[in-house]
Amino acid sequence: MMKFILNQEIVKIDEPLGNSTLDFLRNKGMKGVKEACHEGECGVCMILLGELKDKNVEYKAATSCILPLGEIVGKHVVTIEGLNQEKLSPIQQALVDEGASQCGFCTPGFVVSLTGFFLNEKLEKKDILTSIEGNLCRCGAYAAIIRSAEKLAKEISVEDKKSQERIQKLIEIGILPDYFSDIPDKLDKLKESSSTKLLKEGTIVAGATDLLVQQESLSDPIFLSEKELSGIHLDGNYIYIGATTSMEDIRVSEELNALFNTKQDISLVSAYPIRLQATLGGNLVNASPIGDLIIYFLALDAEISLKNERDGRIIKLRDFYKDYKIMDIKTGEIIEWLRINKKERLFNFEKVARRKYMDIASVNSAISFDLNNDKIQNAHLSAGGVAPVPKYLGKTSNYLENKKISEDIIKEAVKIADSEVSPIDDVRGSARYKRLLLRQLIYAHFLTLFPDLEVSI
Amino acid sequence: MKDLISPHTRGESIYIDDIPEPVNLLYAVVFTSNIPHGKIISLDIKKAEKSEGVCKVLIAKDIPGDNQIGRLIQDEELLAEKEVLFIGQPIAVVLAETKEQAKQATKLIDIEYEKLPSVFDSRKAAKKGLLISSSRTLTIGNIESTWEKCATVIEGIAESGGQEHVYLETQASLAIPDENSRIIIYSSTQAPTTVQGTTSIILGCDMNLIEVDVKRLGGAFGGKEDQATPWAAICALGVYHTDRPVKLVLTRREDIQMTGKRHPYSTDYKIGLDEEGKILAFYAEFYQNSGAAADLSTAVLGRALFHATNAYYIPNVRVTGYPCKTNIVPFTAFRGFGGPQGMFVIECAIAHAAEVTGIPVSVLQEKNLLQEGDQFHYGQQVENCNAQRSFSQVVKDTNFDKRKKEIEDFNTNNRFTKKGISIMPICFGISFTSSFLNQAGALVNVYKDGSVSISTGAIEMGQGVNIKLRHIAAKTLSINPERIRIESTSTSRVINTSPTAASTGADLNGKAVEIACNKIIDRLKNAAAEELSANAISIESEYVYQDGKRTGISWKKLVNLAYLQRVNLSAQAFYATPRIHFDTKKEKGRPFAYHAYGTAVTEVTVDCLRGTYTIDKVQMVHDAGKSLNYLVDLGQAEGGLIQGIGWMTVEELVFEKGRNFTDSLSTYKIPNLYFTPKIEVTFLEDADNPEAVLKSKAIGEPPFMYGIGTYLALKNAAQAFRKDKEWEYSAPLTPEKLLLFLYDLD
Repeated sequence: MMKFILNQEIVKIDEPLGNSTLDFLRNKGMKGVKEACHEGECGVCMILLGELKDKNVEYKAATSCILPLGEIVGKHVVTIEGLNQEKLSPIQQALVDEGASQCGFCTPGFVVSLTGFFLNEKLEKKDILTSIEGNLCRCGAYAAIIRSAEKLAKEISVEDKKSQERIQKLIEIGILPDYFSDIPDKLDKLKESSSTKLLKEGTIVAGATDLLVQQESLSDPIFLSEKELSGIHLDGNYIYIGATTSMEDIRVSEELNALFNTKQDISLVSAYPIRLQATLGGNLVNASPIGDLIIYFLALDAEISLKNERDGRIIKLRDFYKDYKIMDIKTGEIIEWLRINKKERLFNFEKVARRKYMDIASVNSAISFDLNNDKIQNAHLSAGGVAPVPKYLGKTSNYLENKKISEDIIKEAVKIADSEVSPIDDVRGSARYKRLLLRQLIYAHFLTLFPDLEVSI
Repeated sequence: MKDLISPHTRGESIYIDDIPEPVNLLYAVVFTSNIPHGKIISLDIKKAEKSEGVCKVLIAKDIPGDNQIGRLIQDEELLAEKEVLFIGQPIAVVLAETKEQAKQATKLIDIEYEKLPSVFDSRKAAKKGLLISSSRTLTIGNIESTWEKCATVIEGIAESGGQEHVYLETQASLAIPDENSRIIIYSSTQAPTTVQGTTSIILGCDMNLIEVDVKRLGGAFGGKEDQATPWAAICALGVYHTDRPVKLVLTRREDIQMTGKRHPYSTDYKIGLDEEGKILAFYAEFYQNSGAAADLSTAVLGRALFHATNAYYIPNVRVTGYPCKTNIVPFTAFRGFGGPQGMFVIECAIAHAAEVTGIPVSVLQEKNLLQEGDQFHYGQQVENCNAQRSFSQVVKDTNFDKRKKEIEDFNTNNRFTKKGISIMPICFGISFTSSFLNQAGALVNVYKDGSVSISTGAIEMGQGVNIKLRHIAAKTLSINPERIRIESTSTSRVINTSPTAASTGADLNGKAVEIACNKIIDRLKNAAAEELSANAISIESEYVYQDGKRTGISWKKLVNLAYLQRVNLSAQAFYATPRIHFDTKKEKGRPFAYHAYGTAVTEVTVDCLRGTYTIDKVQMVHDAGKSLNYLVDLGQAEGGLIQGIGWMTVEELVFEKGRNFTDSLSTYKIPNLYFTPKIEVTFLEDADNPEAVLKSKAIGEPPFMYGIGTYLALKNAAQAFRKDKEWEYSAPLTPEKLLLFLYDLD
């Protein structure tokens, strides 16, 4: 038996925890939560998920289609039905006033995402569009949606208010119904009475944003999110990132942004609601040859800690991937954290996809190195979409070592990289395109880091 | 009800899958062909029938009527009986207590095929003589004797790709048994009468035994004109056999695999110009990939031919179209209906001619724009022409020549970042090109409390037709729109309806509403005259006026007194577009009630290092007549444009031997928020349209074609980087295609 709050009501259910939350909600009669893709691509099934943290409830938007029920245990699930009040909320009104809803199928999702924006303390006013980047509108009402969102950002100010105070303010201005003020207490009580049985064996789940795309439901899920593996911290020479840290937390991490353009780079990864749900560990063990975070951290010479119940080991991330979806991981082992050296270095990340945002890369690549007396040192180059594994380009990295940057060096590096990869024709592009693109991205690395570099391509 | 959009924002608008499920409901899951072409040697459904929860497995022999869903040409089975023609073709349907059980059972169906040769390419099909129907040619003047008079003659090939509709609400249907073998179908269709008619053919019953009712669609874009029908017919067939309600909602993957899309075209063109750049002759051969059955292909092909000269006057034209039969899911209607594919070719030809003659594209375009009194190659005279007006206004508004110069300077000073700018004029004919379809009915009921209920044949699918109908009725009745409810579209209330398509929904149904409302107004005026024993009665702003003075009789009072006087407060009206005709033998006539015009200027930036691009800005001057609703028309202009840009850029269908590898939203990419350019829409002023209701103009499809401007602008930007290389006219211009143009592989 598991419990959670669905809008105002405490709900007890006895269903497999690996089932999709969307399917549950629609069966429960929440018909404002729509289905259009069932893979987290379109946002018509958007809900808010509130979690009790130190007496406060923190809300995030989530695509309910790829959210397993296990992830909502003990939480507050808010659907469009739970946001509706007698009068339209300012968000709903703005969408009406600007003509931002045509067929209407995507509209509840946009309302939920925009409500999530005002609840979220990590996004600034100027980031309001980030909150709806995971919502598609096929009627193409984006121009009107953007006008509505910008108007709302201009007219509504809650950034000076934190946690419950913010929620009170949102109730006052009609964005949230009154009952939101009772949720912290209700969740607190739920916590005491809620009991979910954790399975010892089964599918380890850390976000499930790809698992629930591949399968309709998960059998025997073990939710890593319930174990304390999340968070980013500095220790000694390293930045440690816990395996269940969300992609969005990585994107906005102060530790990483002090060294790299992580905020910008990771904005190219997936879409906001997915980044809130997806985790580093999930991305690493999913072992997609095109996994953005893997490519990112391969070039930062990351190490990972693998542990089972008895002991642990630390290995280089680049040694983790053996063949297509085959990793150096044993039954019972999980990734605990990933760490990178906190030193400053030159770093660049590139990703090209058919659609710039919210798409899977055709090819992605990252590079890092130090520059010592104009010479490259500690070079690490990675590329995705060009091999059965997320590729650490070891030969190319070795070649670059101790070289002075010049056109000839880059040309040679490009040649070596080309010999290291084996792209295939698939829906992300032809093999010859991917080879060409890798070449271009290697040039792009150097031209981004050294804009005045003279090269002929 | 205050407005029609608020319920959308509350998630309270009901789509098919949101209808409360009736008791005893069965769920249908469709079993489809896994090969592109073959004979069915054996089909074994025994295991599936015995599977848990299964009530019935439907196959071709369970069809009591004709196994035929083809509308224009009867060449498509509902359930394949002896031969399969494409991957995704329905063969059997499992009806079970739960969706999961139905799905599991489809896996237990055994089928054996004898594979037959397949063809996927339109030109290869044409070579083999595989055509859906005979080719079609429109012609004016004499191209053959003109070529030698031309200073420049250019030939080339232009290719445009298909496009998946991605209506967010997938195909869906719910059929419910009524008494005496009658069936009520709730279908996500643009064409209730088509669903009704086809279902009656399948079941071998009279049309009056089938009622189709439609509230709204979660997007359609042409994809639910003919393609909604099979799913509704399957549900009805299920009801016929089980006497239980049946629901079928396709998953996204099923929808993309089983339903038609925009037709891909491959076209040969030849264009001849004089020294000044006047186009003297144009020739084109369109090879339409029609897919495995006709669906609407021949009509779509016709419109490509009609719009082959876009907004230009060309005295000598010969355009031929071949509807080529291939082993791919039958292609179908999609916003623009062949018009975009036709216009793309002439724009490519002009861009090509500009390169050869050195005359800028914009100059060639302007020189050849249509003028009042010109004749289209299909015989219609150009009337109320706004081609030049919109063109010159957008050139002025955007300061086009200055922007072009600035962009050239920018490109000189930037190595890897290049900008491009283009102009795209459009001229789109309004009316169904099958003249008989240009008819509509309306039923206006005024209840004795003064509230009004309106039924028409129009389907609300996001294009705002209900808002427009309400506006027309409110204006004609001179009452507050909040009194008016637009009902669902039901084949029992308004009959023999044409699909809501060809941008004509508001034109046709709006006119019928206007006529019906006027009938009621006349009767009400008589009632008021009788009550007041006076003449010179008018109704304005909810009150009866006598000799221009307001009386004490409000709308509510008026309606009630009319009721007491036993006045008929229900009016049915019918409208048929006047003055349209077309002789398909001579291929001449006046197929369109009027034309919609407009011009857009597009600016783009190409990252020539990575082969990626941004569409920066689109500014358009569009002819919407006297707009019925500004926000609705603005939404159509902006939304149509974005879909058009998607078609020209990132929306790529990848078929491999007839199998669609882009059958999900993670592999088929549609424009998203960040893809949207800055859009500025100006509606042409003083553009009252005498040919449509309240002087308005249809707007659903025309703005889609501004998307072609993005292609032309990207071409300019890319060529600023590679001046030496010949351009291939092929859309969509994906980042892959672009990068492979920008660089040569060793």
